Amino acid sequence: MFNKDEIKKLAKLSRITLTDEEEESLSKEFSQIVDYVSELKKVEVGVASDTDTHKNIMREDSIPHEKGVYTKKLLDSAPSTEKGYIKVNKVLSKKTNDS
Amino acid sequence: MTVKDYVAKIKNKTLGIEESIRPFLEIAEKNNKDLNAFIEIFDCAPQIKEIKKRLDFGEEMPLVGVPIAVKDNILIEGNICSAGSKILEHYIATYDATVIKKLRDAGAIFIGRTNMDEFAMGSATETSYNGPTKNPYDTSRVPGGSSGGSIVSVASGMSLVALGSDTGGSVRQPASFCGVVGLKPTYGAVSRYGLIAMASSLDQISPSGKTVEDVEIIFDQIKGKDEFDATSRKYEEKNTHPVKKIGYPKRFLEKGVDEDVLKNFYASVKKLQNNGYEVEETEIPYLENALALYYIIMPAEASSNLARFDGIKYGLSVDTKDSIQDYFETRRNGFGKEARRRIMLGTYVLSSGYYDAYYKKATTVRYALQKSFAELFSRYDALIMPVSPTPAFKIGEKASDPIAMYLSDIFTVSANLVGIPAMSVPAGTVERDKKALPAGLQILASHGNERRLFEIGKHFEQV
Repeated sequence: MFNKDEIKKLAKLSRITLTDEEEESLSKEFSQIVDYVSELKKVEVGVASDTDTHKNIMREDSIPHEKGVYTKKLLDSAPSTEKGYIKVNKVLSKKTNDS
Repeated sequence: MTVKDYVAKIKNKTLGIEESIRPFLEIAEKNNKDLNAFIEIFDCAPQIKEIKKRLDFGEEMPLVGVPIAVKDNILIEGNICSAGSKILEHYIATYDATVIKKLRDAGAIFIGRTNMDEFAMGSATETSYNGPTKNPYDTSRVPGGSSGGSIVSVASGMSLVALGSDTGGSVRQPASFCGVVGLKPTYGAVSRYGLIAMASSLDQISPSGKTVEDVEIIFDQIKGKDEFDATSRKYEEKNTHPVKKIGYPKRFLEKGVDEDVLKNFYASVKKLQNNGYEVEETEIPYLENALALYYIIMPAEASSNLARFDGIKYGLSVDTKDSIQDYFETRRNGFGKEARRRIMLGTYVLSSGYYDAYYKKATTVRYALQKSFAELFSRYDALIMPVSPTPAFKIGEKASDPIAMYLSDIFTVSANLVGIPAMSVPAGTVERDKKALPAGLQILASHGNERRLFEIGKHFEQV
C-alpha cells in the first residue's frame, strides 16, 4: 500500500531523515497500521457534534507577567544566542535546496 | 507502609525524615542497576533540609517527607527532564510543573526521575534512549509502559508513590503488569502545565501507589483548576449514592484475551457480586472502534506537539550550516524509531486529501463513543474491564510488531478518548514460565466520579 516514495514524501513533510533500511521497514509497518485504522471508514455514525461537550476557553489578552523576567532562563536553554537573540543558520540564500 | 502511616510517624516524631526515607533510597541504590526504574536518583539532602526547616516553623504538611518518583516528562525546575528522548537528553527544566509545585507545598520529596518510553510512546518502557526498564516479578519481562519506571519504583519499594502520565493506558497498564494501583483521572481534573505533551486531548498526569487510599491522597493533592492549563477545571465533588450497579462489555472483552486473564477477570466479577454489587453484562456501542480511533487521534496530536523540537530553542541541535538541514538532522538524530513512526503517521492522517477520511472521521466516531458511554452511565454507576489482554510480556517480544504492541492498550484507550476516570487495581496473578505475574482489574466511572472508583477499589482490595 505504501511504497518507498510515499514514505519519503511523508518523512520530508515531517522534517525527518530516514535511512534506506528504515524506509523499507516503515513502508511495511505503515501499511499494516493504516490498514488497521482504516476500519473506521466503515463505521456509521449519526450526526455527531462536539458543541454540547466542548467550548473555547480564552484568557484576557493582557500582559501575563513583567517583561523580561524569564528571558535569561529561556535563552540559556537555546543552543546558540547572540545579543539576547536566538541565533540560527541563514534561512535565505541565493541557492536553496528546500524546493 | 501506607502514606497515612508514613506521615503519622513523622508528625508524631516517632521517626525523623531521614530515617523514614532511608529504606526507600537504599532499595533504589541497590536495585536500580538491575531494574532501570530511575534515569536519575536525586540527592535528596537539600529537599530534606528544606522540609525540616518548614517543620521547625510548625508548618502542617499533609505529605511531609513522602518520597515520590516522578516520570521524566514532568518538569522539576533545575533538573534535567528528557521525556526518555535523546533530543532532550541535556534539557534542564526552566520551571516547576503545577503538580510538582503542589506536591512540594504539601511537603513531598522528589527522589528521582523515572524511565519511560520515548515521549510516552509505547506500552513496554522499551523505547527510552536510556534502555528498557525491567519487571520486578520477572526481569526478562517488560513492566508495561509508558510509565514503567514510575510504576516499578513503587512496586519494588524505591518510592512510596509515583507520578506518571496516561494517554492511552500508560499508568494503568504497567500498574496491572506490576501489581500496583494506578489512576487515570478525569480529563481536566489535574493540570497538565509542565507535562511534556504527547496528545493534548488525551494526556493526564496520573498517580500510582500500593493502595487505593495512597492514590486517593495524592490525587486530592494534585487536582483542581490551574490558570496555566485552560483545559483544567475546578474539581467538584459529586453528591452520589453508594455504588450498586456495575456493567461489563462481555462480547467485546472476550475477543483476543488470554484465557487465564479472562478467568481472572470473571473471578473479580464474582468477588464484586459476593460483596453486594449488582454486576451484569452490557454492550458499549463503538467500543470496538476505540483502538483504531486512538491510533488516528493520538499520532495526529503527537505530530503537532513534537513539531516544536527543531534544534533551535532548546534540546539537541545538529549544526549543518544550512537551516533546513538543521531540522532534518536534529530530528533524525534526536528521535527514536517509534517517535518518528508516530510523527509520520500523524502527518499522514492530517495531510490534505486524507484529513477527512481519517482525522475528521475519527473525531465524529469519538463523539459517538462519548455519547455511548454517557448513556451507559445513566444506567450503571461504574464499568469494569480487564486492564490489558495479557500479563507482562517478554522484553523485545512485541518491539518489531507495532500492531501487537498497540493491542496491549485495547481496554485502556477508551477512558482517554471519552475523558472519564479509570483505575487499575491488583486482582491476583496468572502464571507464565512458572512465575506468578500480576493482573489488574480496571474500573471506570463517569466524569468527575473518581470517588466511585476509590469506593469500589477499596472494597475490592479488602476481600
